[in-house]
Amino acid sequence: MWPTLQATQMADHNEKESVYLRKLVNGEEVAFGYFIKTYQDMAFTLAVSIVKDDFVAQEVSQDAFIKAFGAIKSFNQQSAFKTWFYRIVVNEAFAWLKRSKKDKLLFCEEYETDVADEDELDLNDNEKLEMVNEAFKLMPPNESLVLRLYYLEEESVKEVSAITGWTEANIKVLLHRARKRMSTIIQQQKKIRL
Amino acid sequence: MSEADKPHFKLGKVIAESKLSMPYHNFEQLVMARLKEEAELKKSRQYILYSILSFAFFIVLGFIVSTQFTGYMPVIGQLSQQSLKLILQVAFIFCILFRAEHLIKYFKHHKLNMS
Repeated sequence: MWPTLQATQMADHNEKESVYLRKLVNGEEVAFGYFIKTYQDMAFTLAVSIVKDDFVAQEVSQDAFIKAFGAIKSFNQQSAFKTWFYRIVVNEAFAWLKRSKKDKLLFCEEYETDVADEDELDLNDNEKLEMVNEAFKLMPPNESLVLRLYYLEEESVKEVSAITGWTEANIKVLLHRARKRMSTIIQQQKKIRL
Repeated sequence: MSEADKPHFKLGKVIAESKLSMPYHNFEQLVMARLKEEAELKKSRQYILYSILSFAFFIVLGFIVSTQFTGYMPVIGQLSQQSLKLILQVAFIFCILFRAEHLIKYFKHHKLNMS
């Protein structure tokens, strides 16, 4: 059986990454640039999901890169680099939340209401995207984080568990809650717009 | 929940496209600058620690040498002004002699970085 295009691209990416990882361990500047370019957007997205502020998310991403590069020699390559790095981002973001004592539910309304179906919303793609990003800002950090990781990065529950350090059962519960909350927020946003 | 569960949540498709871009265009330069700063800081911290340790070492060495000169082993409380002076002088001379090279290197490095 021939390997699929996606599998080939993945293999190329992994090979390229392992080359840059070796360079990173040797302290070559070009490797720092490669990892920053590759992971800055996702680091920022994950950090924003937790801290809900662009500037703070940028600072958290910076701290995560500094920490990762400083500890690169302790990365044993048992997991993928991105899993290891995302965990650092998540830890840094939650540490910031703890420090700023903002670790509280930002959305406390009852959400066990009717769950809106996307078709009922009758919105164009840009509007949906805008609403989804707005909804992420209103969701509790842990729920928005698992939703982003699960759908955006297409991680499995197991991988999300490895990144967050939470149990798989906990992640399933969080995903269930997050989907309900997301749907409710979007439905409410649409009502406000109308 | 299995992987096959993903398509049931229709908003999942929208979320999959909701990746944000880093809004700070100089982010890479910022991280690189901070990396250099951190490396400098680490070097400075190591240098300070090294200096303190070596200074302590030479103080002890000076103390031992001075006791040899004066011919007796004084305890701290019984040290005379003269032997204290001697200890400090010996330690100071040792420090200057042995650390001078490192100090020159350190300041040269900093001067280069500042310019």
